[in-house]
Amino acid sequence: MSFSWFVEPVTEFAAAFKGVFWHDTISLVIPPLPKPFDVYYVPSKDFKSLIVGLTFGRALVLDVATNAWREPTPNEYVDKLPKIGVFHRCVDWMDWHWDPLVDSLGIGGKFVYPQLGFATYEKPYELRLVNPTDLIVFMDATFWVVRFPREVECPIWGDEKAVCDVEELFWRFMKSRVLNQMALGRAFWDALRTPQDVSSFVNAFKRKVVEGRA
Amino acid sequence: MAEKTIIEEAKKGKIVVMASRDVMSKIIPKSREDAERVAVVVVGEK
Repeated sequence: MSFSWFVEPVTEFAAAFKGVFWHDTISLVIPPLPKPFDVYYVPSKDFKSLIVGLTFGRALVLDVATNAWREPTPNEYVDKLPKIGVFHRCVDWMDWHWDPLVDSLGIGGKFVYPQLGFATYEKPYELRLVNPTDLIVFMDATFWVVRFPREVECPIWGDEKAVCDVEELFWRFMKSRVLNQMALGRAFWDALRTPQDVSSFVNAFKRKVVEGRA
Repeated sequence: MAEKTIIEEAKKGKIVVMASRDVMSKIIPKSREDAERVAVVVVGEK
């Protein structure tokens, strides 16, 4: 099972700013729901939680005659499981969308469902369970989290004693990575267009990138 | 809550939530009405 595709920059940021790796696992038995069930996932007031992945366990169906749990039949998988699931969102990071209990979402723990968003006490992760079928289903889910202090040292604004909001700093960190790559790409492109041979290309690139001269 | 009771609660229409005490403290139904639809099972006690 592979982890989220953006784990490398997240790992750098977590290591630098005292992130604590974490997961929260929950199991649910979901009966037929005449109307949706709304619930929040609310981190502690003391932290901001960067959710980096979700894994969904396999869905099992209750045989109500025998009280035995079993795998869904192919007919149930096609006709009913696409109607059972969860809407979810993470304000500012992920919009509302629908996750039915189907294999392509990694149901059964086949892969980590990538997430990237801060959930906080003031801005919790929101979920809406839906089951308009006649099935009673079991499922489990794990939130993979990096938990940060709400405020961390802020090394980019010139005052080493300053602190800043960790979510704001993360956004700046990611943006700086992209801008850095774009600046390198621009310098590379400029150097590539002008030189006549390899040595002049290298020198032009060095002037642009290492010495900061055009 | 025993397995049989979990099933009985689900058959009565309750959403059964199983999690550790720490995780359970982070799972908050949005309304009082939603809270009344839940049966809680604390697992993973040390």
